[in-house]
Amino acid sequence: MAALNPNMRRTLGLSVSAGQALRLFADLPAPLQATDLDTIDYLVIRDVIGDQAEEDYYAVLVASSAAARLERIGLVSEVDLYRSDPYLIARALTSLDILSGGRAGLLALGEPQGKQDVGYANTTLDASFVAEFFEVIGKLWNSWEKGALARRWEENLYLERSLLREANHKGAHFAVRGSLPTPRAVQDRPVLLVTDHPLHASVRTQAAAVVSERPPQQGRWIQRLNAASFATGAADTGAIGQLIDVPVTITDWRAFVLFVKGLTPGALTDASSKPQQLGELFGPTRVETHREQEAHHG
Amino acid sequence: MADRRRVRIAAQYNAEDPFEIWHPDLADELNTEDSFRKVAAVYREGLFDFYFQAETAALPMGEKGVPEFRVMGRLDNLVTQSYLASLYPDLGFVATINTGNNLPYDLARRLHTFDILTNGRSGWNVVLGGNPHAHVNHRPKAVREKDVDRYVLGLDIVHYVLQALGGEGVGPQHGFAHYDQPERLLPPNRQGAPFTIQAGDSGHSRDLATSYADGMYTHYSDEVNGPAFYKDIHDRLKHHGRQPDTFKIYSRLAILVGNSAEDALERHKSLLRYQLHDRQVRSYAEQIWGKRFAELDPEGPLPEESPTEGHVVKLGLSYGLYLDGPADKAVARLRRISAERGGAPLRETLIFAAGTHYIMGSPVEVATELRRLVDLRATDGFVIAPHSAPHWLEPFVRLVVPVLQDWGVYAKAYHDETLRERVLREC
Repeated sequence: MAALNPNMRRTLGLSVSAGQALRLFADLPAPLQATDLDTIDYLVIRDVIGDQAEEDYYAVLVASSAAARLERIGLVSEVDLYRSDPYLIARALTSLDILSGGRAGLLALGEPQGKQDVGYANTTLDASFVAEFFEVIGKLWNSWEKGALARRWEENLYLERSLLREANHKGAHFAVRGSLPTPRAVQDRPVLLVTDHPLHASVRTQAAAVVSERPPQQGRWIQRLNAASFATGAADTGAIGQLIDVPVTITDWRAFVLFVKGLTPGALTDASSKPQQLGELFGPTRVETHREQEAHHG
Repeated sequence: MADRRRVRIAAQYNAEDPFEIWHPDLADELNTEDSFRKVAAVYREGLFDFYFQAETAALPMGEKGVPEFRVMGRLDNLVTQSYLASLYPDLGFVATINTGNNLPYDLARRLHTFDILTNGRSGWNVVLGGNPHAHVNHRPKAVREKDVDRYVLGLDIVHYVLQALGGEGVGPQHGFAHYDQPERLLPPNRQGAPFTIQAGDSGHSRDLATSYADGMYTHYSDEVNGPAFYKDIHDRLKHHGRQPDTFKIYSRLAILVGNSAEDALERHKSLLRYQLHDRQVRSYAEQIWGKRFAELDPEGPLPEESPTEGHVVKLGLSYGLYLDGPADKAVARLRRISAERGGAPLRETLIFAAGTHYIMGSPVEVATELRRLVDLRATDGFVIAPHSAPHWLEPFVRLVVPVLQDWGVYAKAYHDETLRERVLREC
């Protein structure tokens, strides 16, 4: 595990299912302000996959809805990469990053759920699949270079095509030309989090962080634990931060605010010192972006 | 009045409209949180039926690559509209999604959550197939669209989603060709099967839309093409055993409102050069005539020369709807439109001749024209395109909507209802 930078403050996130998030924020009269949320840095919204369950909630869309109601904190959506298309996920994550002002991130689903054969040509799941998925997101991320959105009327130039980067990815699982149809995100790099699931083995050192209960063998560790353990001081100082499950007994926004206010993370400071962008909490994701790919190969 | 027909209004943003003004002094930057929020606030104030947002599955490619001269690039529409629904919970939202690059399971999941986030006021603008080149960006499918009939595949995907969300028995009987009939996949949401409208113009496309959809989105809204389309669609609905009044047609339209007719005309004239750049006037003229022009004045008359013999115009749907085909016909159309408008100059003629019907005038004139088209059964309602100006709908909402309300053909408040109920609601 990477050593903790002593100058880096320890982060605190909350994990909530997409269904619970919907119920928590549905009746909010106005967006929750940063001061109501100043003990936490980000929210992980877990995908609720309803193949066999009573509920199904697509976390990315719930996160986007929540982004409009929560000020300043990061929004990390859990995504079922195994049954997704990297181009669509890169487009969605970029869009949420733009709308939220640089607060968007992704947590890769660990254990596959439900029927895997939903219509893709290749449904082989191994660690190389997840690694290649991340690779494609990296190559598509900010494929609009700065200045691509030119808006130079005198030249009749809305867009400068020479500043659009193609991904030109060809791998075992995906072939993706690019560019994204979505303008540049706020964050320079995608914020990609993983778990200690074996399918994530190849991307832990690249990921922004590894979310797990126990220290992972590689990568920056975010310790996942329940609220009771956190309250009794079970937080491990070897982690770069903690991710606490919001108890299912919390079912409305008032109770949520009280819960958030009651958290007392030692190393945390007030809202004014929070970074503007989610990625600053964790240190950089080390997937190569298109520019680095070009430098590497070119 | 028993036969008073409601004027339905929806609006698109952002559209990649060929005449969308993007001059930085005249328009906000598109694709920002601020621009989406402002637009949604105006739509909410105007009590529009829904906010319509298109998708881009791949940047369009011209001969030299991505076109540089016009508005290009979009956010993911479901992500954007989920965000906006949280801020404007009364609004309805319709998102365009193609069946070429989306799988039905994933689509069903996203549309299910989208309906919850919009309080049952979500809709899917179905594009059967879509950009045939977009597959270069997307994860390979077991059934490749290019290997099969895109309508058969698309219809499979539509019925899968309808049944996965609405349960078996939603829509007509459908024999699945490429997917297994789904079990009811997801728990019931407010609207059940999503409200669907379909874009598309071919006879086959119209026939499929009238077999299952709640409505159609069309370019036809003028008094010549609209009634013909309307009647054709109603005939097809009856052929499918459906009641035509359960199906609504929304026509794409551009609107410019002034305080008076003179004011509207003045604004129109002052905006023309920002809708179509001098260089673009030349480019379109040369594509239509099939020849180079040594001199061409955008503010002057149409070129007197004949088009190159045998030349075929290929400008694409949103621009070339009435121009694509033999060049002599396209040029004849331009000459007729110019003459009808008292010898309109080249630039203005090109803007009026394209595929988007364009009306302008005082508030009462615009309201009268919209109502006339609806009463003529040229359409049931309109999706207004961002065509003429930034903040282009504020005057419409503040000046035209009250006129329509006074006439009793427009809602005075939102009701807590599903999008399907809202669209079907009469006066």
